[in-house]
Amino acid sequence: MGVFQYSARSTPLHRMHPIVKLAYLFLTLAVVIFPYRATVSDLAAAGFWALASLALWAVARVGLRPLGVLMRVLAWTFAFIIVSQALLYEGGHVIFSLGRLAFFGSDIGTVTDQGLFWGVVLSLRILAAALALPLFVVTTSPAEIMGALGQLRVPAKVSFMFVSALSFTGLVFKLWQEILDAQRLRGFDMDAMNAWQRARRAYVPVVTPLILLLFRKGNDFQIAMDARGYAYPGRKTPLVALRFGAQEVAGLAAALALFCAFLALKMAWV
Amino acid sequence: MKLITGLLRPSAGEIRHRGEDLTRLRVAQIAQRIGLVLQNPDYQLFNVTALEEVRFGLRNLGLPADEVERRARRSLAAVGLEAAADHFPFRLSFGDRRRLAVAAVLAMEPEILILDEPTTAQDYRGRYLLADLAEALRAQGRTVIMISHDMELVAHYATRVVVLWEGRVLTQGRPHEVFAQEELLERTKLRPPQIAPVVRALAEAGVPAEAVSLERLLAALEPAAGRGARGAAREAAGFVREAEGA
Amino acid sequence: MAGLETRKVSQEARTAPVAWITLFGALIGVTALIPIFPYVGGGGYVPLLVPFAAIAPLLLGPSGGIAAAVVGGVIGMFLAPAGFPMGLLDVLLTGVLPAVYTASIAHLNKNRLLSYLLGVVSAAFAVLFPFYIPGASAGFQAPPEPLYQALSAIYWLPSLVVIFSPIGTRLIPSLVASEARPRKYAGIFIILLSALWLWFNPWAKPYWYIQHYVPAAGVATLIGYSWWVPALSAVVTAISVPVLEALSRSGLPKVRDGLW
Repeated sequence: MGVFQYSARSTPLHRMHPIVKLAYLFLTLAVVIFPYRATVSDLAAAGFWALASLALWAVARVGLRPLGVLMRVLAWTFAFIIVSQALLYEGGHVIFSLGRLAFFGSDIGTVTDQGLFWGVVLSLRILAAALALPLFVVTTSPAEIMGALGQLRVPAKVSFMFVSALSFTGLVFKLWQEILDAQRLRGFDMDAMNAWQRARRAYVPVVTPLILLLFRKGNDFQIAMDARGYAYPGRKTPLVALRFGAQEVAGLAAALALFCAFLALKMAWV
Repeated sequence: MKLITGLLRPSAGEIRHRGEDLTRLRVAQIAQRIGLVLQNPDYQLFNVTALEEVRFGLRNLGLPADEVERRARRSLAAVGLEAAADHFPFRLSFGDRRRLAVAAVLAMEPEILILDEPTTAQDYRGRYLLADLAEALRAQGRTVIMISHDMELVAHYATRVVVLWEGRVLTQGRPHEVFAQEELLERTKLRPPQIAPVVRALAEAGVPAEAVSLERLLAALEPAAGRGARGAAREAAGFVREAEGA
Repeated sequence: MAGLETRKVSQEARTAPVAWITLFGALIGVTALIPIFPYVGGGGYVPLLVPFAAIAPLLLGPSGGIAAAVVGGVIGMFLAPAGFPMGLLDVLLTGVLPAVYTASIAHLNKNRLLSYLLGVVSAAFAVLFPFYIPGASAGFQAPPEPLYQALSAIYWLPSLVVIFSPIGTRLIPSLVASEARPRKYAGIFIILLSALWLWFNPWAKPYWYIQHYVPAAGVATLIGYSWWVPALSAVVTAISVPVLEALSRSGLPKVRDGLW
């Protein structure tokens, strides 16, 4: 299925408590939401966070293939951002000009160095966010996620839904593929459809049986859950006993130190 | 099966039908020539009526409306579901959903019909219904391929058997020839039907080796037992079938 | 046998069972891997997850649908992080909000105050963010007016008209309850169009903020996507009506406030 799936390894990141990794994700969210300007400071700060995440990829031994997949998807985003900012940004030295081309009040006939630079800063900002997320996914098992959610006082019902749904994705994907194959065998040629035809009529023959099957399976699943005491009152035993020890405190401190370094870089130059 | 129908592309070699390399065709194009009835009919049923379900494949082929209607109704009748034409497919019994899936494929009039495990999750009647239908198609000159682990079914209906194991052809031949290779079958976790050793033991009594189904064995025994035994033999056949079904 | 007690099982609609929410959440998550439209404004793609999240409240009721969308959004982020470059923020924007807006309009009569509040806040967001708030303080220039507001209004005014008029409170419920297929299609389409128009604002504009759009880019995007939301709504309607019809005939136990 996807390339970003949990892989059982023994790296410091795999052994780290999921809450520390979640804290890193939230700090990344703050890194992204911060206001940015076309300055060397902001370029350095966003680049620093992206590099820090990349270093953690190496620590977690995620591998180059997932990185390649991620970069292929993001390359399109970066190209769009850099081209649009290069054309629309006002200010900086002109690199080349086709003359004034008015576009809703902006001139899109001129590419400036500042525009390109600004596009790169914004791309790094997105890269910083996108590199952090797979770290959590690849290094945290469903049982650990459930244990961590329990420690965060998330109701067992909610964490059960998340973890079960995560483990059901394989089943859903398999069903999706099998239903698609079944319809192709009846001459339903999705590949020969253009984007509009596909959007208009390609999904019904796949989605309808899939949802009916899922709900029917859901009934069996509910009975299986209830038969094994799902609704039994009281606290449930966590599958994995997670401990928040010295390593976790050090991990949190390191994440905060990285964030402080990010802030310092953001304020270092103008 | 997935290679023949184009769902998978071979990494080497080619698959030819009437001289044409099928690997060059799309699945939908192959579907006009080769129909596959899947084990689980629920993977394909999504329309609000059984009739509409059969029409779906015919519309994909771009047939004229009157032809779609004619073929759809004829196919439903062929599987005995004409009375269920307006029923919601999801609420039919599993056996009927399976028959509906067959009707949907039959309507496309493929030259080759592939049945994947036709006896899975079927009651006794349903078990033979699909195979009887396949036999009728074979009598009309179509090719029928059945994928099965049910050796009784193979013994009764197959004219040629190919044993596959881990992606390779282990052996092939007429059913009695294959059933005679018990050690080889053992490797594939298959066992010949109970009747196979009986027929071999009766070879000296003049029973032909091909008589590996109950009907054929009884037919072979009939001359020896005398014509008066015919009724008793038929009765015995019915009794054994019912017992198997129960 | 004298002590044996029997209990009648209620045939009344119930809230969506946990197992259904879980499995539908898994389905929403998987659809994060399937692109349906390129999203030029963000440079990525709109995944099939959006239509599925949008129809979740129609199938599972408002609370069950939103719960499934949350589950599916988080899982989608794990399965396809490239489609969620903003991480948890994208879970909210792409995964959860389509369900929230659909639930609020499809079940307008259940909790009008919340729906009104959501509509007004979304409209204010459409009008002000990001060119006026945070505006110049975050380096955003003022857009050309009244052009910008006229274009913005496409994305909130019709939805507010639906919410605050009998279209939302009477017409939609009667259309959706109808047995006639065209009327049902019309009802579902109005729900989804109103919901997805409002949703476009909080979904797209955070990207404008993060990518620091100049007003010209904002205007171009509003023009470029004016056809896109109705097209997306049509696609979602085309998917959802057959599913709702199939569910209503399936014999599966009904879900309270599901539209089947």
